[in-house]
Amino acid sequence: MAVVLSRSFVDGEFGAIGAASQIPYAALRLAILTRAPNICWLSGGSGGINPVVNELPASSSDYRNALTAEAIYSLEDVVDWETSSRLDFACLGGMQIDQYGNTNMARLKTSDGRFVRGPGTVGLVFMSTFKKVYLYTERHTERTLVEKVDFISGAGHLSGGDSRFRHLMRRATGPVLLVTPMAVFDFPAPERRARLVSVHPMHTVDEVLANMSFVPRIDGDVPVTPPPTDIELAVLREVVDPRGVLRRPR
Amino acid sequence: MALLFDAPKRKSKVIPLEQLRKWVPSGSTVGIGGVHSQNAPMAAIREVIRAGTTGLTIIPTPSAGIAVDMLVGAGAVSTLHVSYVGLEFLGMAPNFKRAAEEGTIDIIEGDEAWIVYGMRAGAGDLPFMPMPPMYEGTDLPSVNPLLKRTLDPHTGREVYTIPPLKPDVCLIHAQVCDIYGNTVIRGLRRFEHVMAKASAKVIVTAERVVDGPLGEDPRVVNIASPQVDAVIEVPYGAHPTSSPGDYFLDEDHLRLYAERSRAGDFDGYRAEFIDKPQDHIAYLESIGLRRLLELRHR
Repeated sequence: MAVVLSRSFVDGEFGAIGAASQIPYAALRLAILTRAPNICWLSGGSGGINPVVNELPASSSDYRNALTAEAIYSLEDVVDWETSSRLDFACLGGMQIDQYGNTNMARLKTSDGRFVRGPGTVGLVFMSTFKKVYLYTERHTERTLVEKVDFISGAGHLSGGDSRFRHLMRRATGPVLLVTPMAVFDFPAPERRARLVSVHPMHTVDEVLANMSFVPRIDGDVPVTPPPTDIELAVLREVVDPRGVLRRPR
Repeated sequence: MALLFDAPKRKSKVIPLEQLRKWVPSGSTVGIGGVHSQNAPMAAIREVIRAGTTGLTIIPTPSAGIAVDMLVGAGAVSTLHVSYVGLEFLGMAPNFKRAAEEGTIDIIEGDEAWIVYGMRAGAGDLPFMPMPPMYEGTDLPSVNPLLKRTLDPHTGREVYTIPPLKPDVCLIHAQVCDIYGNTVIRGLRRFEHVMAKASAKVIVTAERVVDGPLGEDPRVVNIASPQVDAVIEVPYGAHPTSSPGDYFLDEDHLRLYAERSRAGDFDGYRAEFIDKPQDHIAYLESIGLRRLLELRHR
């Protein structure tokens, strides 16, 4: 997952990741070290720009993120940047992600009508204003990948097509990718509905579909996600994640 | 010259932890600083619970955790502003989750912008904070009636507005403070200074309180003396969260808290770690010197 995300980042952009985000953290460091040195990024709650902790801290408020950063920003800074669309991208997830990339972290209803509380919308509200969003989840399950979120914390493509731009600014284009432990999806025009782009090695299309609550768009044969190159693997294992945090069962 | 007359001395703002209860009466609106597992004012929170405080409205940092969960578990909270309340890598905040699902607390469904811009409006006593197109793409307005719309007089566009958030009292944990309240927070995301501006009263709990010059570059003082109403010295006062530069978060204790709360035994946790220790030192003794020293920064 880290490798797929890493390959999507564009050199020179300025972006953010959220709390408890070891996969995007690794993906950004990998991209910066191998091909996109001009990326600048914020590590969620840490307050540091371009931190360099070669260990994937579990908590985004780990003090080492500040100690190794180029500069410290305040919460007001990041909220101003996010609201004004100054950030080119963000890596985000959610308790629920639907077929249009809308996300929910606040409140959901189970199939038997029970109300379930989530931690809260926090920074997902800025999906309305980030220039683009990379969605990711470590849980490729029916409960996570749903037809329609119970509550929109973060605006994806809303009800599809151009519906997002009825109210939101066009410069904030919305989700462009969704990465899971099994597959990669994009949100192509005109419907902006999730489309299965590739399936990771050792997984099948059937398995991908069986673990979702909606059927994504599929265009013909679905290729295998290109595996990590030797260089990507070496950088990940030796520099970015020497303790093998990403390889632990999650 | 100094001996010619008796000039009055500047007053110290230091109070003992036990006096905190006078500053946080039941029914108050309370701001709480910190970010995730860093700089939560835990000694103050335990004291508020020990005092039997109830009916609080809590406006916490946008990344809130055990401090808020503990207050909810103790039944001290009637209304809670939610941006994020959780234990990060340790999962959901169990008492918050239970109370929200059972409907025993009122939730104001917010987000990061709600707390930040709301407090910024409060800080300047502004009427409200008008927003660019953002809330329109979400379901937040459907459950948060305080997100009201108005006409932007400059553009004629209808905009959502965030009301000013103004706590009666704000609890902030810092690394060092002088006896007059000049406060240095070494941690991240310095939003505490905005929360302080928005709050009627500010109480700082500090790892160290110094009588005399802070010896710091004044640019690192986050909150100045005139903003601070009382100062409390509590070494290890953020435990089990971290105090940057002093000690790491106590993951074992956070896990113990989470597991007991999840199992419905918050009262057992409370009895052992909040009610039984009569003061902050007794609480630290229950954690144990060995553990406290292990947590120190190297």
